[in-house]
Amino acid sequence: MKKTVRLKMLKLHKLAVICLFAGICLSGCSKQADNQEKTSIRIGVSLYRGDDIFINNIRSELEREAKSYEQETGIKVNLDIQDAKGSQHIQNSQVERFISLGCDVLCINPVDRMDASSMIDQAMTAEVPVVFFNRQPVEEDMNRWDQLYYLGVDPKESGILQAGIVEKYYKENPEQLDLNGNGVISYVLLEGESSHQDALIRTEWSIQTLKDRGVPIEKITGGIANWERSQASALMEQWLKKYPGEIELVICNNDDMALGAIDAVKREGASGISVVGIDGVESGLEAVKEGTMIGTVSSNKEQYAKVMFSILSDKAMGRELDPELELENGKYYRCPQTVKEQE
Amino acid sequence: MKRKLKDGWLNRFSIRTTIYVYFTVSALLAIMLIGVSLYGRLNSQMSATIQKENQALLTQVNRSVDSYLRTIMKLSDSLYYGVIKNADLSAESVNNEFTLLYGNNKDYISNIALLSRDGELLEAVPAARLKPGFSVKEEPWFENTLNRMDNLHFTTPHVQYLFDSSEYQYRWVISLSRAVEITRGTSTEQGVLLIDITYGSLKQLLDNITLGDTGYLYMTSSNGELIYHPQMQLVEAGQMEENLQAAVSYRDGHYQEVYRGQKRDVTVKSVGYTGWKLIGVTPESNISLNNLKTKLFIVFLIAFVLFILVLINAYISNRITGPIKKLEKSVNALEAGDLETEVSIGGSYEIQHLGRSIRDMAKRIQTLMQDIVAEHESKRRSEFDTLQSQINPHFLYNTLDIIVWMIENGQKQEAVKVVTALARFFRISLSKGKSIIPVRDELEHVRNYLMIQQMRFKDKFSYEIQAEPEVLSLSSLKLMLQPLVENAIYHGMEFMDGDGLIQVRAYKKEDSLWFEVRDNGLGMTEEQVSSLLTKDMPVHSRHGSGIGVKNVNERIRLYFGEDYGLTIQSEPDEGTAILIHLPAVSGEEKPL
Amino acid sequence: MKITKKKKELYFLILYEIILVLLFLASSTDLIIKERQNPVYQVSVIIGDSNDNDYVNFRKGMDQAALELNADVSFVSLYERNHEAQQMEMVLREQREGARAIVLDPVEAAQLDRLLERGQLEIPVILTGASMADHKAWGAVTTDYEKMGRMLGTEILNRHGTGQTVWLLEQGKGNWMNRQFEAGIQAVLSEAGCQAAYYNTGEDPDLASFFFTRKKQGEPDLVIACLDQESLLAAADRLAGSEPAWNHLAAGLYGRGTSVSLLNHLEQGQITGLCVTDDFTAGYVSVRTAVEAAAGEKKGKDTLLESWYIEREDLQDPAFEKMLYPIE
Repeated sequence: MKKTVRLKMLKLHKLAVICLFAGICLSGCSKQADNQEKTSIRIGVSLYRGDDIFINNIRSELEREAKSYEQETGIKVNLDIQDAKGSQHIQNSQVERFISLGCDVLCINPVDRMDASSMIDQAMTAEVPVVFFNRQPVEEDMNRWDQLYYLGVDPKESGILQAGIVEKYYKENPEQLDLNGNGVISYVLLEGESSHQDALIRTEWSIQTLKDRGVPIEKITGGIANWERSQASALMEQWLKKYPGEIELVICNNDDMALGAIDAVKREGASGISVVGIDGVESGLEAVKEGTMIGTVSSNKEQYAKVMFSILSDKAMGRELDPELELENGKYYRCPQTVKEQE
Repeated sequence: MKRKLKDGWLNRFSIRTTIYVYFTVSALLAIMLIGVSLYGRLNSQMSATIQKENQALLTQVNRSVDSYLRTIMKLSDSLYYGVIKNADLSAESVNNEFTLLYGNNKDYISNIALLSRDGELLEAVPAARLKPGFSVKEEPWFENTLNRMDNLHFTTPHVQYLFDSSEYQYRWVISLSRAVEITRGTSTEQGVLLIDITYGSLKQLLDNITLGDTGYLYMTSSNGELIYHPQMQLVEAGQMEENLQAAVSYRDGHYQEVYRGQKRDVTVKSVGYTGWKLIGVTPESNISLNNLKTKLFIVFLIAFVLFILVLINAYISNRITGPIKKLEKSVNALEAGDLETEVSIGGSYEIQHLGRSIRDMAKRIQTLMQDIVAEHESKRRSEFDTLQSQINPHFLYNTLDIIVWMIENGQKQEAVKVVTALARFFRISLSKGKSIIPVRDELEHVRNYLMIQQMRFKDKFSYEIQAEPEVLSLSSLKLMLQPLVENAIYHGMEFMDGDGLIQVRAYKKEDSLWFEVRDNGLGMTEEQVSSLLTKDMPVHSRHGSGIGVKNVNERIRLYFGEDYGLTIQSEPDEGTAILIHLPAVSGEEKPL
Repeated sequence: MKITKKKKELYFLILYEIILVLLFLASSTDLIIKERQNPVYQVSVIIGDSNDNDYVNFRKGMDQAALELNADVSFVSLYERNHEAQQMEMVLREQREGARAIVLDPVEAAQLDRLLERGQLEIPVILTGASMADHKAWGAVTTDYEKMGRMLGTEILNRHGTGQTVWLLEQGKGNWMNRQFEAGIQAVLSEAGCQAAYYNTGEDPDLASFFFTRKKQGEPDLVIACLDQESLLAAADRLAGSEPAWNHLAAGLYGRGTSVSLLNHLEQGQITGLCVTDDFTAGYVSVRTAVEAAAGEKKGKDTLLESWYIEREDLQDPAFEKMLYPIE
């Protein structure tokens, strides 16, 4: 009698275990994937530094683009903009967080262009396309995946155009440039970050083009102001003190530094010094309008942001890119630039 | 009294239940003991391990903070001893060297500045200007630095306010300053070398370090100002509280504290030179197995092991008590009287032994019983025989006397008759030892007796013997009629004077064999009748066989059963009739 | 039905086995007691402005809360500044997109009430402004702007006396914060018998004509109290600007705000006194309250935040330093 009881129990137990396994399987079954049409896209943006004027300009343009896209299509755009504060480490963790929050596409302004690989790794693993901008990762890294893009302004073009401004100005008003009339334009150079290739290329091409076009320039001194207005201002002040009356032209790799130089000039009460910049940020354009800057090479920021956003939104929605966009190697976009000069 | 009760209570349960209960209880106790002690041990082990790990982590962090600070201090040293001391600032600029050293340490340096005693900015890398209208000289840290020449002076984190900075940004820095000797031409004067460390770089060292699941670390200055905390802004804003006052009082070591209702394990380690304290906090709940799931698991484990043990226990106890139960059942059957039952032999060797013993005992009982019965029977038989042997020799003597008298008196023919009768009488008396003889023979026996007795008593009486022919071959008990006739003669015929008549009849009625011995003698009173059946004859009666009526009755009943026997009817002065009731059995003696 | 002893034993055993299995599942698998999977709460913060210039610190607090409380915070600004209808649309859109709670800086709180009445809004709303008592929101994290206004009014009176007209500047169509602030200042000023004048900088964004007119009229030493950050920034910029003449035009420039540019102006001296709030805490508490609401807690709280009046020296005070320049 006991034996049958035991057998019955064993059977019952087996039945119970089977039921449980079935339950576990069912509960573990993944929920139905929602493959409906997207009603919102999420874009993660990481800026190498929050206080860079140019970057800020691009950022506001991007935000504007996003808003108009929202209004047009009714698709919500979740633009998450973060400041990497100049630390690649922080940027890496920002990218990690973006991916974990489920961003559809990333827009990254890398801190260290040599060190973009870990970000690319993360993006590739998560299959999230990345649009780099303004600071270009090395070619080997860019070639690792076909969902990596880069938007930027061609620094060579910038340099040449900048030289063009000085050249034109010289041709039109040589006495404005050559203040002391010694037939030589003495200039000081304010450069961007030493590790930024744009700084090198801009400087190189600007100076070279001027020389090529026969503008008699002579360098007094130069310094690295790291794209920053305050540093440029301090350097300029030192130079004005050190070389009083000698400086005739200030060639700056970007508008912010140009403005800093202008600040120093104003403070020191010097006048007549010509300043030229690159970027075409709002404050720079204003300075050109006011006449404190002789000109700047303005990149079409609206276009920049438009193209950038178009790539971002297309990638986020899983669509193919606009065929009208001409991308170099399918990856690179050079934003067009124009010269903005004093009237 | 109590003891009796207890024993009684325990004894009420079967072996199975008792073993079961004892086993289960002891198993449960054992498991619980093991479980609890293991849990306790594991718990304390785990706590100790986690604590050690946390402390190791804290030490590690301490070391990295230490090395970080040292690097910066070394930078300050390099700047001073390597550059400033050897430079004549009136003639040269130290900018290049500063720029080089700054470039190497860009990751954690925000600014390097050399200030004169009057607060004039002599050199700054990266290029920077003092905030206009700002008098560095009046800053307390500036004065302090100049006063304590030998020291490197660290501030707590603050917003960088010395230099002109971007419109939209601010920087948090920690300032390291030292007094330096500046050479300008032939004069030397005091100055201050200032290095602004980016707070972010320190934060990077300490961020995302968790001690266990929910533990964390924070850093304070020697007088309790927060230098780093994972939720620094919240603590400063008052949204969160931290046990800072206690932290100030702690020296290096481990402490247990209770803060806001939570027990915490606190480790304090000082960072060298600055007097800053690194404080690691681990909530108690973190470092023990106090998970609900873990507790449930232990309960589950105990229940499961108990379950298994109970199953095993049940199996074992069944194996032990099963045979005992079977044995008990067999014994029950035996008790009920069925000696033939199969006694089950099984189980451990003790039980088998018991079983076998019981089986043998049962057999022996059976045998003994049979023996007793046999003995009883033989006893009966011998008794029977003994009874029978009470055939009196006196009758023989008397009869022989008569024969001698007859012979002496020349009554040869009568003597021959008597001798022949006697011989026949005794021959049938013995009947080769058989107790059951045919009715024919018994009648013959009594005829012979009567004949002899008639001759003795000189025809005082007469007799008749009638028997139906069919009963002649039936079985009868030996020496049955004779004692009755004897009784009739000696009690009935004494005073008859030739009118006495003894009738012996034998007939069959249904399945019974009846004998009648009638006489018309004196008769008996009822008392006499009953005494006849109960009174033992004196052993050596002179009158006949010495076997009394009682004996006949007894024998009949012994032999044929209680249903048969004698019945006496008597009327004083009328006569007596003694009826013998026997079963009608044809002539095969039941072997005794 | 008589339950025999054997049957009883069987049932007991089965029951025991079931308990065993349940215990096992509870303790070693995730079926019964789920490891607390920290749920991610989707919260939307909708402001009334078209950019987030005034919300920098607020966003820092927001991000901190998002990190700690596992919330996915979506910061939404309007296309057009102070556009109520747009804001309500945004609210509904965010609800559609799956927000579990909304932190709202309402342009007009009455609109919100209408939505609630119509039953269109199902998720809890935390107001940053206007106390909960007035409107049917789940909770509120507000600053008492009227009190702030009073505070400023008192300080102005202390410094300038009652003789001067106090100019109240505002850019464009203001919001409820401006109104409350104004009310506070006006109350104190009128009590003391001080004159107040209103100027809307809407068409004159850099205040050129304002200052020009004043200068022409020979009004010296204006006392200006700006009702919002835009006008304050414009005024401060103008004063810091290239023309030295303007620099001394204002006897005192006051206002409210916490952006770095304003703080810089305070430090440089263009702004005399500033009313500030702890925006980081505001952002943090708002999101925290929103997460509580999203997590399903019962009726919420009304959190009132402090405001302070600071001048230049106070910037170095470590307490203010930490508040106005949040460590990130």
